[in-house]
Amino acid sequence: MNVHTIHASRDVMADAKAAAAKFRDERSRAGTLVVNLLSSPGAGKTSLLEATARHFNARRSMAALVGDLATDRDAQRLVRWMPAVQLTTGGACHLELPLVERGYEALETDAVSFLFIENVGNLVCPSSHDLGEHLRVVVLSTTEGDDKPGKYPKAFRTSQALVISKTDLLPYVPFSLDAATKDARLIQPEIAVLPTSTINGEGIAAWCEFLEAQHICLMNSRDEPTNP
Amino acid sequence: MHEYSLVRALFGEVDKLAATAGEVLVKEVRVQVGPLSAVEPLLLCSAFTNLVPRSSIPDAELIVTEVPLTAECLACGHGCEIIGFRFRCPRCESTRLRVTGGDIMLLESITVEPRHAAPEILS
Repeated sequence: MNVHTIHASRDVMADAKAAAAKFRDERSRAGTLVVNLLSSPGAGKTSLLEATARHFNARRSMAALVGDLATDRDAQRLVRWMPAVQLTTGGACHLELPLVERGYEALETDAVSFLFIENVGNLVCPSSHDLGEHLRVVVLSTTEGDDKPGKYPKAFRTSQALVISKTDLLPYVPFSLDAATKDARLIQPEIAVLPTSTINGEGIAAWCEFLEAQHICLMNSRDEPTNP
Repeated sequence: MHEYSLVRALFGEVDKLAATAGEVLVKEVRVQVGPLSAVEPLLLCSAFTNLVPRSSIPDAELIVTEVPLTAECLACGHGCEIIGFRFRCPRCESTRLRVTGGDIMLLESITVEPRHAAPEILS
């Protein structure tokens, strides 16, 4: 046998994706919708989750896994509302499934309706990592500018919903909801767009209805017979 | 900067592939990346260079090929290249497209040689 080439044509992340699919299936069976929240730092992911918990007012069970480089500040905020575990990455720029699985074990919670994964603030790296979510949501704040979808195409292409946060600031910042929506839909034509403000409450009910609808879809798909 | 975790995943895939060939040394690893792979080739090569000496394939060289972002239209079946991340079929204007390339990091092939080369015949 001499020097020879072996062809593969295999996704480098295939094993990670298979493990994520297994985690997703397990949560599906338990009736838990897993939501992975992506955004740049400070877009308002934690505030959105606080507003979500306030809106549901204990009518829906939820839990959160919160990614952060160094602190547990976000988990401390959320633990007033729901079981929350901080996933401290020690400087790493994104979450990976093993961290999520360990965090999920640490939650020690019975099956909840919604498991939120608040990713590390970063619109690049988290977009390449399937965390076993059913729903990927990208949060874009009005202070960041409406040109961001085209600049971070993978985050928007791989998301099913776009939450535009801080709409209360629209009178003061050069941000067009139409331009952001149009830019996002060039990349992901199917993306749901949900403008919100956690300050004046605009759009929070619509966002929660969207989550409820996704949860109903999950429960219905669970009831359908699966092909052997 | 997640190229380091991608390189670790790459080592795992290379190990599995090399094991199918028995006792071999991996000399070359070829990967493809595209516009939606979220991989910067220069950073990928630098991560590979840093990690490879302490890996199971210390002799391997990494060759990165950049490929275009391609898709198949689910409405009319047309295959096309996606330019500027505009996901619309150039033939029928449908937005129902399935990405067929350029959105992942693909292990294309590895080149290996036998670990124990046949002893040279001394003249």
